[in-house]
Amino acid sequence: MKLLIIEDEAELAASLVSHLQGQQYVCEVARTFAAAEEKLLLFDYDCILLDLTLPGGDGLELLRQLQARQKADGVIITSARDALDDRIAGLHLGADDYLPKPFHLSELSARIAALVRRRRFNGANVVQAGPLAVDVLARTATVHGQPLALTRSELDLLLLLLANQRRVVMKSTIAEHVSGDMAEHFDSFEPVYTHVKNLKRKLGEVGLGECIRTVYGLGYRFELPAA
Amino acid sequence: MSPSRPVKLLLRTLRAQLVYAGLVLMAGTFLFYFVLQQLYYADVDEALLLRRDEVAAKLPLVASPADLALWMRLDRDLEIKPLGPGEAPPPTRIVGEKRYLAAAKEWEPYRTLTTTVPYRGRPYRLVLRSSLVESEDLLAAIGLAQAGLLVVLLGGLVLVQQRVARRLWQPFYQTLAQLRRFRLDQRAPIELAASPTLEFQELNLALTELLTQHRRLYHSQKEFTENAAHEMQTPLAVQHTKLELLAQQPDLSETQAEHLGALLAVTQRLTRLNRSLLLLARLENQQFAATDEVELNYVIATLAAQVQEQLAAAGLTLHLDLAALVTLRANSTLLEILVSNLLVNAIRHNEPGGTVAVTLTARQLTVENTGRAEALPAGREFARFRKDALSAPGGVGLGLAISRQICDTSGLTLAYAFAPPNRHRFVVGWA
Repeated sequence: MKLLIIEDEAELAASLVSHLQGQQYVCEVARTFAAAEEKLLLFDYDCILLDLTLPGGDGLELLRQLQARQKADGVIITSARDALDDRIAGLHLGADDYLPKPFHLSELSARIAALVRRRRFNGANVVQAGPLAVDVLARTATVHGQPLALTRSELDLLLLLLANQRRVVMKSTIAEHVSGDMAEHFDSFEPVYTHVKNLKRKLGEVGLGECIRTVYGLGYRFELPAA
Repeated sequence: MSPSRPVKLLLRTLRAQLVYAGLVLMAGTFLFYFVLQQLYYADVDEALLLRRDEVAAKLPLVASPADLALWMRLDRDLEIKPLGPGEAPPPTRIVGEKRYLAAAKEWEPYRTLTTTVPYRGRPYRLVLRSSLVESEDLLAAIGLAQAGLLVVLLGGLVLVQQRVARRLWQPFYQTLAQLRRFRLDQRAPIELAASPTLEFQELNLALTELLTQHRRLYHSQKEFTENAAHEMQTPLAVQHTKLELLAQQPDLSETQAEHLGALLAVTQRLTRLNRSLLLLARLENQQFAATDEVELNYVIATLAAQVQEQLAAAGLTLHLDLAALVTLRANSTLLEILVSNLLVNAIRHNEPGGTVAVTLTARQLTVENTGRAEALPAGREFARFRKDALSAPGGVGLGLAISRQICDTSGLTLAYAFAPPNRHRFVVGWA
């Protein structure tokens, strides 16, 4: 899967590449408006991460060009400009998602995974991991075909973990992913612990309890046992 | 001395004018009367001198002292008597005197001329009098008329002066009114009306310059906050992602993981703080112009659902009483932030086992929570970065300041009240 990262900050672009390459994405980077414009004309990408403040032009203008060619649906806007007009303008221009900077890398992975699934599998939107399958649209999970009764939050948590397999997902990322923006106002991770505990218990009942590992001081890691 | 009440400038000038006019009026009347009197006396005295010459010319025609006595009886204002023995002949002298008039039973003023005339070879004393009764009345009448005229003249002058002054000062009052309305954060620059008067023109020019400079300073200061917060976002994003990448290292020791966790937490706190500052700066710059119809019930219900887990974690009970269906014309994002801030505030500053009560009526939204048995410091409830015994640890300290600013921007009111023993209440009102 091919990604284009349009980001003028070199260090940030490098971090994104490092993170996303670890997840088997092929990444290209464009650091100026002109470079991005050229790449977008020449190649097709599964997903485009678009920063709005670029040397040489406004990211929204790139979005406009993409929209004119009906290619705007693969775009995730990642911008420090989180003034809401931008968000609304971006989504109006057909961007798929909006992730204000700074964002969590695991959250970005989850968003990219969701976007790619939507575009690739036209409706049949199932995340498969070993015996575990999550139907994103129907919002159901099964293990070996047997339904797993999960709450909405637990399902969201599972999807986040699945999008970041074998990687540490931070507690704060989980909190915001599951509880929304309000989570950042609270120091307590109590809800996160509860959700993880419940999910772990439910997975444990079907023999997958060991998949979720606690990483001391940081968060959790999802890893299927080697078959 | 206690400071006296300030007096209007126009009144002060009027006072001074009236005092001066009064003085001139009184002094002028007396002076005029006196001058007139002197002129008249000079006239009368001249007449007396002429009469003396006439008497002296006619005297040789009087045949005997008996005729002289008859003449004196016919003319009461004439007196010719021989000088007493050894009496020095009086020189010609005119004096004013009062004489008792039997007919009028009054003392009346006279001008009296005394001189010496020869009669049949002997010196006689000649006394000639001229009554001033009629002239006195005339003088009084003239003086009165004059005083009246002065009163009318001065009164008129004062009135005209007042009128002119009021019109002259009009630009001043206009400028004053404009200054009263002026706010540093208003969007349009101040425009003081042009005046044909040089002083006011200069005043307005100086004021415009001063205010423009202040506005520019104020705006650049706010812009600085916004730019600083904005510029900090990218380094923060880099820092955050680098830390996240570091956290993915396979063989982290527990200590390293702990340090990393703390660094991530602090980075997020910095991010939050930065975002709040940016929002505040934008609010002050009124950068959220777009408004639409927002259903407050929906906003409250959605956000209340989002804090359910935190409520449960903190052992709090939420009472939602959305009695009225309220639609406000506002920026939906700002309204969401406002409600969310109030909810977060009510949860963060609560106590285990406490309650959060959200009540929505047609006129106001009340968010009440249990908490410390102490009111927030009066006047500083909405202050930024308020640090005291009542501020919760870990908070950014901008939530209430932002709420206040949102209300200001959106035409809402925000009030805080403390209900003993431990209930804190925030009320958002609208017209």
